[in-house]
Amino acid sequence: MNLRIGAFGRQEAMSAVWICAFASGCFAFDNRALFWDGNASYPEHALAAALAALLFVCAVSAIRKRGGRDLSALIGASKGKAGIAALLILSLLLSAIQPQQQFLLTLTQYVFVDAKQVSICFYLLPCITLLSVLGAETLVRTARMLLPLLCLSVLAALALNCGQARLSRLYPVPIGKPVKLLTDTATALHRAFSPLLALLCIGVGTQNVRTLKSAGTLGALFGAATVVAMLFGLSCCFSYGMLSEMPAPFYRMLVEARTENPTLRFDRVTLFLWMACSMLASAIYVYAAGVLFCKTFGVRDIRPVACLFGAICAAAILALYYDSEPTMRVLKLLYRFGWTAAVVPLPLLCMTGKERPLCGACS
Amino acid sequence: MKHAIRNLLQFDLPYRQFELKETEPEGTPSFFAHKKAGKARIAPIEGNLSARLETNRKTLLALFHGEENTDLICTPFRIGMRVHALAVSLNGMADETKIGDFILRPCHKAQAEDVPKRGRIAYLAESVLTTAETERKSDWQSVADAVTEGRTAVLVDGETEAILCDTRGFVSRPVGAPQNEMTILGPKEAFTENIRTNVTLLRRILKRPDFVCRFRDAGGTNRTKLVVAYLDGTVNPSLRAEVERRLDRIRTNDTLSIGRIEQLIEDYTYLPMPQMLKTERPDRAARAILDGRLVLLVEGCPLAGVLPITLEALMESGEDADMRQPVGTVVRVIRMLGAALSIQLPAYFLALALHHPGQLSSEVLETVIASRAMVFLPLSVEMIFLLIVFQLVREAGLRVPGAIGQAIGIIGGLLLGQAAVSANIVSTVVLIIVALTGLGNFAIPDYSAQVSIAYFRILLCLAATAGGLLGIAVTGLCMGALLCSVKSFGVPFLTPFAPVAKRSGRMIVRGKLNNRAAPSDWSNPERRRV
Repeated sequence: MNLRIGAFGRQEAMSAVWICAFASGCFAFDNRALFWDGNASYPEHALAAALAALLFVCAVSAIRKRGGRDLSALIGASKGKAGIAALLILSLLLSAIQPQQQFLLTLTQYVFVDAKQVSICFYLLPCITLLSVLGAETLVRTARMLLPLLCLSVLAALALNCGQARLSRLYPVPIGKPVKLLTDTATALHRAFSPLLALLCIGVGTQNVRTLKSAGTLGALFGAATVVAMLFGLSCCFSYGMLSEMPAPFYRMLVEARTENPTLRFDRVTLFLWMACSMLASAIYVYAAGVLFCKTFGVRDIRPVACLFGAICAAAILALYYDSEPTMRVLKLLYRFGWTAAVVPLPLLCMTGKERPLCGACS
Repeated sequence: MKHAIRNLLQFDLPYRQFELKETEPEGTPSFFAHKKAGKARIAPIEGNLSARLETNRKTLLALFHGEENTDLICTPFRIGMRVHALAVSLNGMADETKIGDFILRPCHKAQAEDVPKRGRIAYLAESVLTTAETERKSDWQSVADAVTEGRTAVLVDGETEAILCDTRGFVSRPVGAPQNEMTILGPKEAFTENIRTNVTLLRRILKRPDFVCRFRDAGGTNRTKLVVAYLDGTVNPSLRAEVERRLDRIRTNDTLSIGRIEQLIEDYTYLPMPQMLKTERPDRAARAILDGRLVLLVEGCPLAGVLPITLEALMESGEDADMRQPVGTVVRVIRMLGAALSIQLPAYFLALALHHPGQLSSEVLETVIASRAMVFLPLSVEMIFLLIVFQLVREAGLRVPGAIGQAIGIIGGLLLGQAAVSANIVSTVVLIIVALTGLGNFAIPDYSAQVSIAYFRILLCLAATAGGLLGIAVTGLCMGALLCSVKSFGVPFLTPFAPVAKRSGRMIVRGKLNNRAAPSDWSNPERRRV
């Protein structure tokens, strides 16, 4: 089979999870829903990341007990594997679409004001498809190369915004609204778990299950720390009322930093660096979805599947542009409750199926 | 002249110009001629030596085209004034003094009664000839190979074997200082065109019995000598087997340099980055061998090919390890900065000036606008034009010999730049950016890497023109991913960054010199301790 998974180590896998966590966690699909009644995004995300890590550890343990090395060991042993795989693929593709939609919005509103979304799509989507065709080994190595730059840019963005941070802007935390907190945490759970789900799909590339587990846990931990720090910084810079109306809050944060320090004009460079990271994350999601599809349905080559999923993402993003309102409504709905697609089947999968004796490579 | 005028004025004359005739049996080549060209096959020389000396002499003359090749020397002589024999060598390839002193004179001095009636070859090889290396062969292929190498074949009447004596003594360039990889602190020796000298240079550094130099043919029918050098027990055996397998696949005769061999055995034909490090320094090659890598040497080429190769090795200079730690670190930081400037600076400037002018301060923007006031070329065309001119000056400077080449570089740079600014073809800001790019490019130690980076630079400039920073981000990401996917003989190109691997030293910030007795981890050496 030409799945192009290859072999990679702990640091590369961790970097991929970290970058995916950053892209999924920071660039939310629906800011209005996130901030409409107070700001609890950063504690919600911390909680969601902890839950996601717990779920991941459970899934890895279940995979290990079944003698497998990736998610297909769980799906293959379950009933209705096609349906479960379809749900997970849908979840991964949603995660791939989410940051791109945000960046398209940012670019058309702030950077290329006269440009159409279609023309910007011509840059982003072929690149994502090309990257996803190159395979897991290439993707995780590219993530390893980009990670230091990403960390540096995040630190710089936070440091430059220190001057305008006000702790009073953190108020109010909607503690009195448990339903909102619960739904927001569930949505955040989807964002936090998607990187781990992608890693589970390509887990066979790691040396063994132990490496998979440590890479995923560390990546989720560091990724969550980055996202929580960014969300916290954002919350300190803008009030929840401003954030719920703001189309691209992180870019606005960078612009504010530039206004404060006119000599440091790195807002565009940082934006495009984050965009490159998010493109890589999208490519990882598309590729992971492709691997899951190939393993479940017996397709022997990842390339046509990755191209197909890349085209689906492109179609979804373009549909947002051409037929904005209904498509946006459907995607918001999917995004709001998409976490069920990713999260609910996994505990079920972990509980069902027969345990197999451990092999050497799995220990 | 007369014929030319007559040809021009008279139309009824037959066509007298020389015309190359078809030698193919089919006569007319096919539409896609190259597809029908077929394989260049030269059958190996078959047959064994005859017992009759005269027959052997005739065969040799036929084999070597003796009528035309007057440098083939067949010296008839008698062993012990009794048995007829023939010494065959190529003039210039073999040392005449050695032939006289170690073959002819001992044979003349041999006593007639000592020469046996049977087994004369064994007698000659063991008791008469005084050359350091002798070999007995009975097939014409071996005899022909030996004579073309500069050895002397001794054929004896009544014997079906020949003695091949080592009398090689052709003229070659002496060991000199490196021309392209000059260092201040490192050794001052460079490889030559003589493969045996090159092996000796390596052996002088690597004084250990497990250092193996495997001589073999480079492929094709030319029988160009090639050496695969490695440390047995340290180099990864699968790497060695894979390199040998790829070398075995070579069919072409065009294997006269290490660059050609690199292209014949590499994985990625269309990638601009080199997949083998070409060095003229024996110390650098020896260091690579100690690190568990393979080194290829080709006869007639003063460069060694080191494989597998990583970006780290391409960015490393020969004397990096010889410098003090802080100095070495600063030098490396400057080098990396130069490389980054060389790749990104023109594209970044184009992106900012064309698509994101708000990112430039008003002072810089005003300077750019003022310098471009009279320039008629669009900014992107101006930048790419100057980058091409820079490559032109550099290429011209390289090809023109010695001091004139340097003069072309300086004069070309100064005069062309000044003239272009005066003629309003280019602006001073763009000129400064291209000059900085050129300086950064020269900071990269490896010539192949310098040249290949020009492709990435132009590509990024085009992307910046089309999409500004968006174009740079997308193209840069694709280029990065491409480099991450490349492997040089199974080793990822960006090792030890991605994937992370233990190595002998850090690439940018140099640490304390490694005192571990182990090669780098990334080549998966067989033995961890050397």
